Amino acid sequence: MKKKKFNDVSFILAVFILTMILVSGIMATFITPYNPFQPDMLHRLQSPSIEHWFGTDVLGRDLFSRILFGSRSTIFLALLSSFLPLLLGTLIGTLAGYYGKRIDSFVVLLSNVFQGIPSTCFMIAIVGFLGPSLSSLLLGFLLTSWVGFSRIIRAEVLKMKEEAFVEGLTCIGCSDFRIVFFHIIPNIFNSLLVLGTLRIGRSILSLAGLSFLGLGVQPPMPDWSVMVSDAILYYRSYPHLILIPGCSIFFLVYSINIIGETLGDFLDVRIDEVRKCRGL
Amino acid sequence: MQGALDSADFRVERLNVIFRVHSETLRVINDVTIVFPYGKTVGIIGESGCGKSVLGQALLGLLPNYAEVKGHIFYKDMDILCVPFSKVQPYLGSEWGVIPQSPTEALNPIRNIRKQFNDIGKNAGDRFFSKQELCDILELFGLQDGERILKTYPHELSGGMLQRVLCAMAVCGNPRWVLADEPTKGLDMESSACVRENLQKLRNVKTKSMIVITHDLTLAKSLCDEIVVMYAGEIIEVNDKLWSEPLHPYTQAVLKALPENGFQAMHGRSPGTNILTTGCKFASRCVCAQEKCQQEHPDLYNIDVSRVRCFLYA
Repeated sequence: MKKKKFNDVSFILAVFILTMILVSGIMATFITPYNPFQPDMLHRLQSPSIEHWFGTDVLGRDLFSRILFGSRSTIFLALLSSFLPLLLGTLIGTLAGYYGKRIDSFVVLLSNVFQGIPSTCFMIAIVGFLGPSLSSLLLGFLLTSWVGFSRIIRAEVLKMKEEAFVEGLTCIGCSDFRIVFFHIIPNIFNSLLVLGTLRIGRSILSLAGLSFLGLGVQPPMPDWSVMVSDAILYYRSYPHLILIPGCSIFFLVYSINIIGETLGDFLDVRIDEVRKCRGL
Repeated sequence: MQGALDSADFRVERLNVIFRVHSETLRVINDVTIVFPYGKTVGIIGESGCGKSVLGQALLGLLPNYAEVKGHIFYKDMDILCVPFSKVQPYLGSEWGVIPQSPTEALNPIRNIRKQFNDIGKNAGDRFFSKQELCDILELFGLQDGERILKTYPHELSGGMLQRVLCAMAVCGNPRWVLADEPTKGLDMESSACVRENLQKLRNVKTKSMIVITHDLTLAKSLCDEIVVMYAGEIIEVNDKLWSEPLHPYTQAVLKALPENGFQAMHGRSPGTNILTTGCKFASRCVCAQEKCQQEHPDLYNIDVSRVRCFLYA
């Protein structure tokens, strides 16, 4: 496997795309030519043209403006719904892995229960029960996806705990808190990073699923995933309705993944060592 | 001897450590009573599985909590085995420096040397070591370009350099005691010589109070004032003239097995710690064994300043 460097073409491209998405999202108010909430029934379902760069949707709203505004909620929700479960999963996984014994068996039992529940159904149940809102959405994500993280983190911590240097840290009187937060977690940080970034893509897709069922982002709030599900009825005759938000999601997820992978490689000092030893 | 105890001595009294593994009961340490006097370098030697490392762990209060422990270890009027670990923790790193085995694995691979020094400082009374202080300590162990080394990560240094860094780390908190657990384990002759040199330097410059747990007899010989010989969980000999006048038949046999003394290997194996024996543990291999040895368990008998667990000296 080739190690990704910061001057890699794909990395530069990814940073460029992500910056564009972020900047255009932040500056959306100044850039957008139309009001993203304003229906215009005379110009509905238009293909891309000079007036409407990305065309218009079923209510005649300018797709370009909606894409720019939509990036805000998409990125915000995707980040929150990936990193909150990651945090919770890391905490639980570290506790289980580091302290072991009863805590560990309890966590494993709990993970088995949670992993046995089909996540989409569970998420629908939670959001449906609490009513669609940001907090219930995040709670749904939190409860369904911490398990995947905590299992991997637990295994990583178990492996780390046996390292000689962790034993050495106990010998010099380091507190558990210091060992876990200054030594173990930094050592598994690149797994966390890769897990987190890969999760973002899946979060966006789950979000789209929930929005399609009317449980996610509520219309008329522009959101890429909502736009994809809105286009379901029309995409055969007007493919741009699904292609444009779909491509936006693709570019976002792609750039985040590439950046995560490159950072992961960069932070992994040990890879350097292995390469050096093998003369690569 | 009991009256003249310095408070910074390690006093081990009737220590018993038992591990229960599945249905087996492993008596890893049996009735060990010994004083490690402050200001002396004591070597603990013995074959694998004789309980040396467990004794080391017990001294630092680091026995795993599934161990069944009886007895006392006193340090400064504190019973290490009875007080909660949080009371022992402040001593680690500040009063007791530890030199771990396998230097290449003993440091966090993603933290630079400077930061790892400060991890020790945190425990040694929340001290922050200045760059000059650290460079001085490193120079003591023959690392001239301390400034560069502090910036490096462990994998950028060779095994020998790491060993020196670890020695420096063990003494940077100015500990009263230094414990080295098999510092030469798995090293080749040249690296062991380097370790020996470092430990000697440490002993000359920093602190004379050391406990060296090893089965490297050359290391023990060149470094230690006093040798404790352990066999199957017991202390069988404490001697400061071990090399010239070994007392216990086991020690005599071990010394005879050294290449320079004729390479006469001993027969048999040491009894497992799961077997309860009534007699002397070494009786089955002993060339001087009598009938008494099979039935009765010998005490530690005093011979001048040495002590030996054998009926020959009763």
